[in-house]
Order: sequence, then C-alpha cells, then structure tokens
Amino acid sequence: MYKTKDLIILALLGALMLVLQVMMSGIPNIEPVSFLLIIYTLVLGRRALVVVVVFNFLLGLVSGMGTWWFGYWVVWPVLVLVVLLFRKIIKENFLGWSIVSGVFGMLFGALYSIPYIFTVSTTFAFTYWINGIPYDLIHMVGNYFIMLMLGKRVYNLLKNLVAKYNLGTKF
Amino acid sequence: MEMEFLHRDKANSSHGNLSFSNEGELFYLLGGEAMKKNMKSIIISLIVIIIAISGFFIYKNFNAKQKVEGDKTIEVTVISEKDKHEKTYTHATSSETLGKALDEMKIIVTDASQATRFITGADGLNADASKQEWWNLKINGENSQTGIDDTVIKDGDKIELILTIGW
Repeated sequence: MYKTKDLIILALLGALMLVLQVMMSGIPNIEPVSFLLIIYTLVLGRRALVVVVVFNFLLGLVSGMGTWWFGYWVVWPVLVLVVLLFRKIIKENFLGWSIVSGVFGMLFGALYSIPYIFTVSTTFAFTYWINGIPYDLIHMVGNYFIMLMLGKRVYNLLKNLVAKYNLGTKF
Repeated sequence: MEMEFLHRDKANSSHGNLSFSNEGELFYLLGGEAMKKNMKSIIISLIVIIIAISGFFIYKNFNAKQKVEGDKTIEVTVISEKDKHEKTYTHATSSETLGKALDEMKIIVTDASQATRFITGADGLNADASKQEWWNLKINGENSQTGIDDTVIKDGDKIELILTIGW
C-alpha cells in the first residue's frame, strides 16, 4: 500500500511535470517531460508510473481529451519501462541516459502514432509519423542536451529530497 | 595540491549537491580520466547533432523527389450541397504544391494563423466553424492526409473541395 505522504509527493511530482511542460510548450518539441520522467524512474522505480497517470490526466484536463490523448498512454509508460529495464546496466552514467533520452525523442513520433492505427486509420498513423520526422529530430537533440546538462544534478537533488522526506520503500 | 583545492572548495560551497565542485568536476576536467570522459560527451554530442542535421536533409530530399516538375493540368471542383453549388475549374500550372496552384487560381480564402494553412472559403462560400463547417479536401476521390501546402500535385489530378458539416 502507498502511504498518504507517498501519494501526495507522487501527485506533486506529476503536477510539477505538467507545469514545466505547459511552460515550455511554446518551443516545439523541446520538453522537460522525458527528462523528468527518466530521473523520476531512476529515483522512484516503478512508482514513476503513478506520476505518469497523474500527468496524463492533468494534461487531458488542461488540453481537452481527444484522440491525441491516447498517444501519451503509450509513450510515457514505455519510457518508464525502458528506464526500469536499462537502469541496472547504465546505472548513474548520465551520458548513457542522455543517449537513451535522445533515442526516445527520435522514436517519439512513431510510438505516439500507434493508437491512431486504432482510433483513426493506419494511413493516418503512418502519415502522422512521417510528417513529424523533422520534429522528432529536434526532440532528439533537445532531450539529449537537457539530460546531458541537468541529469546528474537534478538526479542527486531528487535523490536527497526523497531520502529526506523518507518515502516508503520500493515495491 | 589538487586535494587541497578540493577540500577548500567543499568547505566554501554553500549548496551541497547542486554545485559543480562538490564532485570536483571542475578540477577534474583537467585531469586524465575526466578529460577522457569529457571528450567522450563532446564527441557523442557532435554525433547527435550530425545525425539530426543529416536526417533533416535526407528527409527534405526524399520529399523533394516526390515533387513533379513542369507543367501540369489539374481539375478543381468546389462542391457545397447546402448552397446547391458545384463548379469545376481546370487549371494549368507549373506549381509543385496544391496550395500554390489554388492561390494562382484565386478561388480560395485561407487561414494561416495556425501551424498549417487551411481553407476557410472557396468560390465565395465560407465555412462557418461555429456551425462545425469545414472544407474537406479530396484528391482523386480520397480524403487528403496532408494540408494544401504539403500536398504535391501531378498532371491530371482531380481535386475536390467539399463543404462538410460536422466533425
């Protein structure tokens, strides 16, 4: 069971992610969500999925739900799973995480368009992805450099804060 | 000597984990191991930028190849059931995209305030967004997957602009 304190902190981390996302939404595809989610997953483990749920619902409330919304239910959980899978190998090497974040940025469009196969049509999903490739490239560069510059520092900060607030043990 | 520097800095640093020198990064940049690590991130950063730039050019090139140069004739039909309107135009053009061809024909009004330009009016008929009216673009009988400026035209294309209600 999650303790109340855990849930509040997880919800706040999700809200923080949304605020930063909205703040940076003016710049196409330079976003803090991939970065923060990787850091959250490294520090909180599987509990980062709770943050994803909070974030996605808040995003739906802010932007209005539509077919665009389903894509986010694919991309963010996939990112958390990838980090969980690789964290034993990459550990605290933030150059490694920068590469993971960059590759994720490049594949974002492809992952995001998967639900469109079911909600609209395969042609639409495919054209959506192809049309977005230049933006995926910007996403790759942005993700890579954000992680390279801030990764280690924000990771240490969050790790210390989580220890300080004595969050429940991993499960 | 180096250690002394580190110690002094540690004592001076006010905000523990956020500062550079806590992990001695700043000083170690000049040292052997860290220098190698630093070089590694610079090289990988360059590779990332090169992949992005070359990827962009490959993408542009790939798209350009699909363009058809030279003169072509297209047929544009504007249909509005509501207004019992159906009019067909034939137009000879050397433009590569539908957007440019339609601009030459001067039959459409567009809204360019969004990321992609879209049609608001054709043949003097306007789509009223408040009544959920919009212009459906069909190319050779199929709904277009791209906006007018991203649609490449070829000789003999049949374009339909249909005023549609409801989305």
